[in-house]
Amino acid sequence: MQQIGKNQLSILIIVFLIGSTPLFELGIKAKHDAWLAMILAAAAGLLLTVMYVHLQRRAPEAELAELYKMHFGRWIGGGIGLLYAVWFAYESMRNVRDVGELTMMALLTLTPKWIVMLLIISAAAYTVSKGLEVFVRVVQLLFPIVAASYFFIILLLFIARLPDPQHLLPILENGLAPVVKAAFPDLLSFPFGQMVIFLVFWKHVSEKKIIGRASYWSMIGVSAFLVFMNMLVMCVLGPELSAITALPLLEVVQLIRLANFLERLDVVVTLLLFIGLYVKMTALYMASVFTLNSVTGIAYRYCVMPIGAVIYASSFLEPNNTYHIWIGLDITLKIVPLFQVVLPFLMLVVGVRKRYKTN
Amino acid sequence: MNKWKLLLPLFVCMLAVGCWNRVELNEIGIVSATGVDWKDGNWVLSYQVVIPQAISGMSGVGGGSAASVNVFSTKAEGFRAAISKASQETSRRLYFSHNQIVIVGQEAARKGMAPLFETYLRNHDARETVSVFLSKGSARHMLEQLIPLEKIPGAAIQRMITNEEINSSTYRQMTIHQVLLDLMGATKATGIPGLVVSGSRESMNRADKLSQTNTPSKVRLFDLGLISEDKLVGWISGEESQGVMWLKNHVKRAVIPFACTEEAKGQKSSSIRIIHAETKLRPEPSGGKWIMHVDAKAVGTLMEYNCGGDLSKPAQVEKAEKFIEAEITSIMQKGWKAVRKYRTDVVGFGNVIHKKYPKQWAEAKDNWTELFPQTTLKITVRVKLNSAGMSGSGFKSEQEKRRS
Amino acid sequence: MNKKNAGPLTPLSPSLHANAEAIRNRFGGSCDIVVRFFRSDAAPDRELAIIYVSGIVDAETINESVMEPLMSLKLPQHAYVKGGKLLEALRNCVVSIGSIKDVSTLEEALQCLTDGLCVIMADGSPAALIAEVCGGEQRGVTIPQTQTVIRGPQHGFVENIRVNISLIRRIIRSSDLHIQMHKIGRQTHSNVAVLYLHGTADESIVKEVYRRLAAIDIDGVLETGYIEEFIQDETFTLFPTLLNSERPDTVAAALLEGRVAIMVDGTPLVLMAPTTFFTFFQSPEDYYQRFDIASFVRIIRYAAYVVAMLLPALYIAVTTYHQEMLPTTLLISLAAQREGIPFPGLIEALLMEMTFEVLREAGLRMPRAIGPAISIVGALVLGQSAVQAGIVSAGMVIIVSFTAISNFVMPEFNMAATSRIIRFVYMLMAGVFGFFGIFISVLFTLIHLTSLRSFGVPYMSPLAPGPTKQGIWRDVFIRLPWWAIVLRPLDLSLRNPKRRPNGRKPPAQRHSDKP
Repeated sequence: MQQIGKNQLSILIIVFLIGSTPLFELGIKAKHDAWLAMILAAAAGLLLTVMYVHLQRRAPEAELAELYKMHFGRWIGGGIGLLYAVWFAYESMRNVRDVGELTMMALLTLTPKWIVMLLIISAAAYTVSKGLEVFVRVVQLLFPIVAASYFFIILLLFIARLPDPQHLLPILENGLAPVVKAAFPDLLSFPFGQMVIFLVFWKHVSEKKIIGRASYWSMIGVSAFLVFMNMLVMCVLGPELSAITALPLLEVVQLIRLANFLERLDVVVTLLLFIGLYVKMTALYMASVFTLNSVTGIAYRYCVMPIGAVIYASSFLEPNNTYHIWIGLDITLKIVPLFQVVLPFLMLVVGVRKRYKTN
Repeated sequence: MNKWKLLLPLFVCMLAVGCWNRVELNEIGIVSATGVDWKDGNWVLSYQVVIPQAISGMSGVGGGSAASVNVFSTKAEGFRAAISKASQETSRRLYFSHNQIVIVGQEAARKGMAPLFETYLRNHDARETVSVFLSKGSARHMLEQLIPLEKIPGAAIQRMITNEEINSSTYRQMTIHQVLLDLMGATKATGIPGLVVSGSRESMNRADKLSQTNTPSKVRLFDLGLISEDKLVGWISGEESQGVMWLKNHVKRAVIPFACTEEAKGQKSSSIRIIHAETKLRPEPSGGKWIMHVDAKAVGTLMEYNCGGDLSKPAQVEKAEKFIEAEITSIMQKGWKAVRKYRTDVVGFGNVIHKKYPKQWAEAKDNWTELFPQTTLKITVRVKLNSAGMSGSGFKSEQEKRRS
Repeated sequence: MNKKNAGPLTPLSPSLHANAEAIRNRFGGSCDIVVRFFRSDAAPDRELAIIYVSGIVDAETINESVMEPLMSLKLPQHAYVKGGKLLEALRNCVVSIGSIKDVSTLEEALQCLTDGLCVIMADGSPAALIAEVCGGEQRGVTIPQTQTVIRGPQHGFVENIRVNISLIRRIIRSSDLHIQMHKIGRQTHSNVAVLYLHGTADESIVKEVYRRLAAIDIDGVLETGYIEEFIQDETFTLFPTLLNSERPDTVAAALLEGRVAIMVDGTPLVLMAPTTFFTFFQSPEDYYQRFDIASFVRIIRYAAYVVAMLLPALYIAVTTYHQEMLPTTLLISLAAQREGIPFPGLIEALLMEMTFEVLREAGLRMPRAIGPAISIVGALVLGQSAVQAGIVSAGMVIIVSFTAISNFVMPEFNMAATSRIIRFVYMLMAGVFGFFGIFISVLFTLIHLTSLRSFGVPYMSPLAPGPTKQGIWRDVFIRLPWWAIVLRPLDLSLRNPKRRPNGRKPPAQRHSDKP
């Protein structure tokens, strides 16, 4: 039985939620009020997390699929579990594709995507085959790099006096409506609603009691950080520029020029991007393997390679970047609330009627 | 070992297909400056390419053995198309990531700079930290000029504007990013410093001309070009530009000559060095039009004072401060008049109103070009002399005191 | 230990000459077997013999403590000693040697002979007396050759395991220091000692060491390297999972930290387990110097390791893929250097790195006397001339040299060796994918590192997984003053995790400046 500790859980939540999020100016539909939309979505995400933790407490030793089986019976629950496995694999595939697209856009413009994606998916598959413990340790090793890089970037931005708080004004220019529209469901689904994945991992936490506290606090911390990064990008680029650039953080970092030598730091951002995407992709991949394993009973190690192959193969289905982003932002975000909100909520209701106790 | 079996084919195909993006250092032509001109329905792009051997000093390059840059142009109907044509006349791939400045010729600027911005936003190797200049003549002519003391003219012009921005604040360094911020903001207007070749008509395009102690002509900053939407609408002089800088709160340090009257008239024989300045704009709606309260504060040190009076007395210092305040007010007024003439809101009044009165702005923004010149300016300036320099009353007054 | 090659045992025969003949025959009449028959007054009617292998025994001890008492003995009461009691009487009253025992089979006698003991036999007794007279020529205790310190003890292990054990005993004077001896090797019958501090070392790890040692079946063990490859957790890794040292103080420190030490006769290098990644960055001198400088040097070491692994790869990536990262002036001077260089950056780097590796191997293997010649060839011919001839760029020479020097900073040679190999993988990946390649290969390295274990201890602890107890960090990346290091560094459920009580250092007597 693989076990992860309290700090490891917090770090996993932090790095998973950060992922690649700060690279994009999320909620830009609300223009300079994007950060308000972030806060709204984060608060809603926290509520969702409370619900997930509550569900987990009903059966601390069960993971996602087992919870569904417990609530809806073997067949329906198993079916839902399979759906989740597919969804996790799909989300993982999106991250693989993101790596391919972003590398093409920002780093290696001529290198074919297939090899880049093959490399990153093999890193993920290697991690998944080693198991959760190794994955969490890798995240632990990457965490200081991520933290230091963000700190460094933020510090340099302030030294270069790039952020201008004026860009955040006027607050709520068009009222609350656009902010709410930006927050729901898009911002809630990505990144905050993705906390649902931890229903798979919480089972492996050695101290079950601290799950709630550790998860809430790390989530609050991450949300604060994400909101801050969102504001920072807005302060540097202004609403109009942030809306039209594909990778706002990359744009922001390109603007840093200090002492004629601290410039062109985009590679730090690209590195952060890869780390974030890798962590997200691997976590989702692993969740998919775990879920498939607990639904079908096929041994963990036999699930790794097939799912990896499926993820890799399906990442070629979308013909180009525009398509990829369109599917991701317009279609996926409309479907995922099913997994993040509707199904867990149903489970909550069923559980209340069945009078499951939480310990 | 299973995983090794899996890794092996990966490794093999990796090496077999490898090195797509690889470019060796001796396969790139490092572009240090780019020029944009518009001629006969075509974009003419000029590149200043650095010749590394001539610069790195391995072969003891002295005053004028070889030029350190090479300039050439390509033309086409599209921007990137012109750049891609460069491969027909140079052996190396042009490398733009180290480009320091972009000079836009007057014709091109009047035609519209949208394709330039489009290129910068869409391409990864084009960086928004590049400084933009307008050129009164053709941009290519600017690129051809060698600059004394410096090896790479592009970098030299870039340093020239930095120096100017920090020490006298008449012009401001406008990077593509700042230009974009301004043009995409509420007012859609900005000012870009211009370049001219001053002095005789002789072009400084030969390295051996640098072997003299004086150069017949040189590149210098001259006038501020006003851009509205994406087109050049007019030029304002350096003095007016300084007024704009004051209004926009871009003054960092400056030396301001002033006269000994409170009306800012007469011979400006004294001067002050401003070491800190801050301008605040406060809009106020008044019957469909706007009043702009301009509140400027400046701290400075006296550098030269020929107005008589004993500066060791506080009253006299206050008097001097009044003179300076008057002078700064008059500078701002000049700038404002110039800008008003062109109906281009480079001072960013629109932005301020947008932040403060979003609702009223929504109504005003459509005919802002009409409303903007009708804005009333209420300028208050407060100057603080934190030091009168190292002498008290001054040479002349001391002399007179002795005489009496 | 070697149950597997224990064939049928031959009992000694009562006839002295038959026994002596049997021993001679077993050794195939080797010339270094000395068999000396003599008679003693202790038992004048019976012939005695002393057998030993010359060269591995101390001839002086044999003469003084065995032969002389036996031959000069004139005490009448011993004349009564008859039959089987003779050897017992000799052992009890005559032979003045500390360690002595009886054996009754030929195989045991043979084993003792090859261990450097002497066999005393008497006609009529089917047994033999074994006296320990080990000796012979060997190297004295000298300054360690491979791990030098400025401040700290200056003696190192030698090839003799008994001397080595004594060196540890002299440092840790406690009955808790337990030492178990094993014999490994069908032919070499090498002595392998397991040392641990009872009550401090994790018992399960000690048991695991025994278990893994017992499973070794090989004809000979010449060095701890043999043992290491048998008992390490993961074979297919570039990273060493066992520490070795030839310094008694290092081994003693490891024992105090709760590790288990494994010594092999015939080599001055001692293995220590379990070992984590960070142990390899700790030099014994860190603990003898002031803590501030020790911490500084330790950070330098980590940085140097990263440099040694990544610098050439980064250089390749930056100069062939990401030129925009360089400051303009640097880019221009590098570009000027590269004009006319015939090879692409990757090939140039591989060429120079290979050259350096060859130079280094040559430097290790060549006779001492021609050492300076190598440095002249290396520095002048390959460095300066290659640049002047325009075959490699000056920047590349700087990079390769700095990488090489960084590699020498590592206190543990086997960890430094790791970076020598991984570097090439990184360089290839950087040459093909630029930074992305470096990222992927570093990621693979990290995943691999975190999956490693050394005797059950995660290799990257206490960084990943994080420390289970507060305060373990005080001796990982930096070293705090000794009084602050309360816990033993291994993050195990040790029975005795604290090395000192909590609290600050004992306060010094304050001397007031006031009169």
